[in-house]
Amino acid sequence: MDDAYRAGWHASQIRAVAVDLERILPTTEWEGPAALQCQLRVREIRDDLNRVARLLESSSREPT
Amino acid sequence: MVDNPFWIHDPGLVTVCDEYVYALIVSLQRGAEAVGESWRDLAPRDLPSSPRASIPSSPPVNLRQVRSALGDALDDLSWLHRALVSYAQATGVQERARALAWQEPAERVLALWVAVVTGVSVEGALGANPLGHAASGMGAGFPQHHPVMVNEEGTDGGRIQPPQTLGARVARIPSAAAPIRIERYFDDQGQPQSEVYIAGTGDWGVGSSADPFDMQSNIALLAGLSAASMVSVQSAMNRAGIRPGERVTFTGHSQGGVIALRLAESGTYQTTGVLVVGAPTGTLTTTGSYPALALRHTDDLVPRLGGSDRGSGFTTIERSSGRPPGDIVGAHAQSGYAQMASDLDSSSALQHLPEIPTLSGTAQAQVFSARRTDG
Repeated sequence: MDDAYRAGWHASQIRAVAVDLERILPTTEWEGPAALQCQLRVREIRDDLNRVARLLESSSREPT
Repeated sequence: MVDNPFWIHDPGLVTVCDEYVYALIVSLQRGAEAVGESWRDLAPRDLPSSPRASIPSSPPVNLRQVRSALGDALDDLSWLHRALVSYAQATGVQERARALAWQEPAERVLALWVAVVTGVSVEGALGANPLGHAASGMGAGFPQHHPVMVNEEGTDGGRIQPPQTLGARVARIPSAAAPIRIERYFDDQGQPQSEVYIAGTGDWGVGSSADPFDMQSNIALLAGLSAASMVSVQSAMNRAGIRPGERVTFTGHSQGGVIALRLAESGTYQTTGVLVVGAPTGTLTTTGSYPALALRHTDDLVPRLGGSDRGSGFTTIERSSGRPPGDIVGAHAQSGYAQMASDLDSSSALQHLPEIPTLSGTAQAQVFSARRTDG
């Protein structure tokens, strides 16, 4: 597997995790156990994963 | 839904949490595994320990930064997963303590009830082994044989598909007038597999009723003895052509749930799944490897009559019935459990619960009534 293909493959895998986290959150207000701030943390993780996936997708398009 | 979420107790009450936490734990676990795999695979190939250390220009330099950011996200994923598991385990510890606190008084109430009904000494019910006393009282005071007559009341409509959802399954539990419903399907190889649905208590009297689904049967079932209602179901299954060793999935409400579990555990059939709703199965356990789900309203008193959970093999899902306080009958109603099951079908937690197998083909539903013939 070359680096570009590898980066693209991992980008899609990481996007899938981000989508799964997006889907799992209830649409209405829900905070989960007190102090854990689940909504906030999950959204942050989702955004971070999407950012990483975008970087990987860019990387996969770069000439090697 | 968020105002009244499902609470999910895994077998043995190891973890207890609401449906969103439950789904999130599974999702975070799965996500951490996938992200961890990517993080490991994106390791730079020019690290000193790498066999490809001498190969130049691989990987691109920005991949290191990407991997670092991915590592941070992985740390956050893993931390939240661990925190939620710890929370669910701590709730499980509390639930086990609550179950233990409830267990002894519940057993004494059950034993006192049996003592009053059977006429054995009340003192024994207050002793060290109340359930043992109840069982001996049952053995002495209750009939050992149960002459019953089962009548097929006809078929319920034309040929039907097997239930695809929990809601559809619970909706097929029949009424007390004809408390047994059987659907017999055949797989591609022509092998039979049956769905047996059992209603709850039809008569709240003890022993004076022609209805085998009465309180006498309830008590006998909880004490592990034979009961007229269970004999009726076995007789109906025999009439429907179900033979020992055949695959059967049981679904039952209230007393029907206890019968479902007793038959599932009898070893007579190859049990493929059990779904009980509002059933007092607390002191009974599942030992088979089949999926077992119990639905309970937190304000339904009937499931509490069976005593506390003792680490049974059930995955138990609870939520309030939404009925007004004190509406004991409403909180136990089968229609409320059908709604609960239907709501659970659209819960994000559903995909992580033990899955009762869905059959194929079509069947003719047979419904049976039953009555005692000894009085």
